[in-house]
Amino acid sequence: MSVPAYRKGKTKIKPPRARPAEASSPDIWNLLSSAIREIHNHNASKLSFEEIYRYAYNLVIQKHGELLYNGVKGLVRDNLDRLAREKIVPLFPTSGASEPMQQSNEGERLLKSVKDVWEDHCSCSTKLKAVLTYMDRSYTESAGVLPTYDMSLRLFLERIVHSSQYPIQRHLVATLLNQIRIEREGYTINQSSVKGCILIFLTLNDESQKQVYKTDFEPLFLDESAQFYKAEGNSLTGILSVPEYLQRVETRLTSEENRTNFMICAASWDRLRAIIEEHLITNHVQTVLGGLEAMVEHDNINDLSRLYRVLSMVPTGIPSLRRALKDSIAQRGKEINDASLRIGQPDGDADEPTDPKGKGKAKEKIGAAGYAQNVAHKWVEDVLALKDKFDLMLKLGLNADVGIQASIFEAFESFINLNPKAPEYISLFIDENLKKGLKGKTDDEVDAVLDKTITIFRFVTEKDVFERYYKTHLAKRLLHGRSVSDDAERGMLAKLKIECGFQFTQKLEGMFNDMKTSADAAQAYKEYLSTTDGPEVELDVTVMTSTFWPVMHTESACLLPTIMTRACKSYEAFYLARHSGRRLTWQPSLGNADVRVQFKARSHDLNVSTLALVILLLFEDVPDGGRLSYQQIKEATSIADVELSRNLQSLACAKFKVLRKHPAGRDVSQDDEFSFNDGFTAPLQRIKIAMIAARVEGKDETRETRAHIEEERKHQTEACIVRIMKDRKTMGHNDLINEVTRQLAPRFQPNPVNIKKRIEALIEREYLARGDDRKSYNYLA
Amino acid sequence: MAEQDEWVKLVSLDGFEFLLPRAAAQGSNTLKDMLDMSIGLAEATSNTVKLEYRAAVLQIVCEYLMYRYQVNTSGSKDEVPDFLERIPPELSLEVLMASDFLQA
Repeated sequence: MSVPAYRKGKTKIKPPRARPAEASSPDIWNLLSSAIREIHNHNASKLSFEEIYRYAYNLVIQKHGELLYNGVKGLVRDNLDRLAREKIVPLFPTSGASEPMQQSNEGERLLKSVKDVWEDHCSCSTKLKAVLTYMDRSYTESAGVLPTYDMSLRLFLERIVHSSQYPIQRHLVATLLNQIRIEREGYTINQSSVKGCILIFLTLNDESQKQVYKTDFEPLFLDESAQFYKAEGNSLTGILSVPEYLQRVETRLTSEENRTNFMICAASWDRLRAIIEEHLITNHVQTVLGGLEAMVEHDNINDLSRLYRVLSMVPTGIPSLRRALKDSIAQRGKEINDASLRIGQPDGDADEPTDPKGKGKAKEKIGAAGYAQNVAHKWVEDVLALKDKFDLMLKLGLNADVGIQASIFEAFESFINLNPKAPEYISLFIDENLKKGLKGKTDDEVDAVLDKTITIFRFVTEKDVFERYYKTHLAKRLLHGRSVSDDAERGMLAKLKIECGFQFTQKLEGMFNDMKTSADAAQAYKEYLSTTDGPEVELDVTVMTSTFWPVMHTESACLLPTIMTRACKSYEAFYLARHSGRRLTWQPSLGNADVRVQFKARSHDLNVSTLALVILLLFEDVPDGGRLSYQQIKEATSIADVELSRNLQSLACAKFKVLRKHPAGRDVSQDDEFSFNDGFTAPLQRIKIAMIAARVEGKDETRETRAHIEEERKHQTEACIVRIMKDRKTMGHNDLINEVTRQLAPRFQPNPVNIKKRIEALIEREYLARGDDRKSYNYLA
Repeated sequence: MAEQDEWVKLVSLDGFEFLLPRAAAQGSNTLKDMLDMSIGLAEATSNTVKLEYRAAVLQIVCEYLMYRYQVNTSGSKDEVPDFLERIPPELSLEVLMASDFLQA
């Protein structure tokens, strides 16, 4: 500070008054050092701050800073040595006791003492710093030495922690680790003394400005922790069940986190955590996953979610969990598949006509058919249950983890597609729900079931197979008027459309439209009949566009009785008049008829299939008790063997025996004879004679369906290749294969070999040509 | 520890006593430390500080501490009068030394 210039000269500035006889510097130092000793002896409150401060001030002013600084340093050092000697060294653990409580007590005494010494030293240092502020300000910096307080802490490090006289450091660290271990083992220790001592480490810095904590304590602490948890991980996995172990891991982690944050140093938590995770989790992932199966089995969501939490901490955890879940699903899926095969097997045997005892065979066969239906039903139900189970677990237990979801889906997809009958089963299941839906289920429930079924359907890769079955089943439902409601059917269709796109449902929708136009046509036909001579029988015709409907029995020609032929002709005339250029083919095997039959006791209204009606009508002309042989019937009707025996069986061997078979028995053979059973009685007026239907396809049929599908796939593949090539003109082999696979994937999984064959076929037919490089193809317009 | 007095006493070499709000006295780091209970020397317990300065100097010190305290606490943006005006030139050197001692 300088006096403002304008004042100069005007007033005389007096020099400061001379001090009253300044004491010489050694005297001042003596006064000061005794004062500092008093501070060390906790007698500070008797001292005058001003005096001490003034002593130090004067010493510094008189250029005795160095004397002062070194003197203070010496005093502090002596004091620390004294403290170490008196307070710490006697408390070194000596007994080597193994009893944890005793160890803990000994350790605690040492730590407490160290902590007290430290706190005492800190407070003295604060005081020293305060009274020596002037020295810090004017001397230390220019002399290049540490300020008082830091110097004092450094001395603490040198004289106590790193004392060369006493092995304090070794004992201190060992005791700390011991205390921590004792606490980990579940005993109570005095946390505050441990905390206090660790705080010392945290506060002190060594010459290179590194935290003593980092150099002296942390590595040892982490080592010790690693050893502890390695041992614990190895011993506990043997003793505890997996859920218990997981619980233990979680409590361990929380308690360690609390301990680290409270007692030790939050900065170490990450490293400690990594160690614990490595030793408790990573090294035991497989053991832990061994418990997964039981959790899944018992839907133990809590344990599962704990498992997920624990595993998600380590990098290898979740992938392992995903694999394990996948295996688990695959295993379960395999069981479901096997179960359905096992149940399906005896059914297949029963179909063999080897059973010589015919009696009750028909019943058994119906049972078997129903059984087969049950297999499909059971399979889908099982898959649905499994899916629900895992969905629930995913949602509640696994945090809806996307990766895990993908794994689960993958597993479902693979096992569902392992069952070659999956598309058929799913379709049958839907069929059943749409048919029997009214049985005690509300629309909403049915809808929910169907929604779930769609989720399974999503996993199916062979969607075209499904389409085929679905078409067949839908056709049956529509023609026999068996579906619950149009709405439900259309709802299902809409769902399929969402899943697979417009193309997939196009034909199915076509079927619906046919039903509708047929109804309209029937209305018009009625009006038409009122103007002309109608046939004697009422006729209800469904006109089916042949490309939309699965033609289940091609050209099942059948000689109709004249009365029916007339009716057909009448409709034909009507229909062809309305639409020119169309051809009507009658499919009597798909129809059914109501007929009133006079039996001895009373007359009944029978609802039979059209073919059965044709057979029944044959008996109209047969005298009472007369018989017709199988061959006769066949000649008269020219119905194919399969259909004929099926219809005869349902008339003569099923629940309602309208015909008698000679000899009696359950199976229809080619040399059987039949007569009209006029003694037939039934409690109901109206009887529906159900066709004995093979619901789940037999082996031959399956093969046939397969062949159909293969054929269809060939066409689709070719169409797809041509579509692509038309667009690209020229394309490499691999690109083409990839593109075809991609485009066909929503319908089925094409085999590259097959694609190659198709390409060759197209080359043969000169749609394509090989490129010059022999690796690509050109499109030939 | 009971709440410390709001006022502290400064005593000059020649026995004059000055009463000063604690907050104002703490404008001097030295005084602040002297009066700090946690360091706890004699001055802190008695709330009295004897200083080796004449009353005339100490008066200026007190005026300065008050001045500083008011300027700092009022927080107004008004023109702050220059404190230098108030220091009698003949005392300026002594005041300068006091300010060094008291770290104000």
